[in-house]
Amino acid sequence: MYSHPGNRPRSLKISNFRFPLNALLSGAHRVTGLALVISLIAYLVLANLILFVPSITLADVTDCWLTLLLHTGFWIALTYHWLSGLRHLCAEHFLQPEAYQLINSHTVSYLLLGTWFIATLSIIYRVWFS
Amino acid sequence: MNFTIKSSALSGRKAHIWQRLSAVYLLFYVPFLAIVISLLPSSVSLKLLAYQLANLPFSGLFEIATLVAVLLLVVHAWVGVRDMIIDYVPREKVDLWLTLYHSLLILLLINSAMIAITLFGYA
Repeated sequence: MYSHPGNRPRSLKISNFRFPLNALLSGAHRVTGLALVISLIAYLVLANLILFVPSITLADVTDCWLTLLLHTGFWIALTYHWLSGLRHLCAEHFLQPEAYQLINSHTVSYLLLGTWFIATLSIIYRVWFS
Repeated sequence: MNFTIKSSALSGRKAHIWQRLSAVYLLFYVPFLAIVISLLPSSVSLKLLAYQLANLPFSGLFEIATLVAVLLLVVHAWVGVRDMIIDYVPREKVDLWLTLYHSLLILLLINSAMIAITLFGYA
């Protein structure tokens, strides 16, 4: 845990900082990880309701907009977390300078974002329209 | 028995190794899970869904893979959120939040086991 040793002025307002793209992607990996933990809790709550409350059935919750929203959020977060996790693993495994620079390049960052965007569209289509 | 988690007693190296091991396993399991889910027909009840899962041609493999995945997922979730708590929560509240999160994960694991036993008892 970081503790600043001096008395220099500090800002706790995150919008005061301009982060590089890779820092934003890495931060988003954490945010999606947290979102996945929360959505797994929501899935467990849903499973408990269906199993142990006789008046609630799977058919009742399947087409409910809250469940569809949960599916959408879960799969979108999971796709991002999976893609950026793969990148983290590669960055930790391929330590040669050329490979490491390539993995951390803007091209790979935009490739990750592009893949995620396409996956997001297909998740939205699959959950809400098919 | 003392359930309190002390941040000073936690190891960063061991956590990193477990995080990587679980990440590699889940890297392969997640697409496998997505394929299995896309192959399942729509069900009217969770019990029927469990029955369909238990009768898939590769159900034995799926059950073992899922059991390992759930255990490694808990490890992965513990290390990930644990690091976030250590990084962002004020120092004097870190141990409390770690203990709360640890207890929550144990409860989730017990609840998941309970649901699995209830569902696959019918399958």
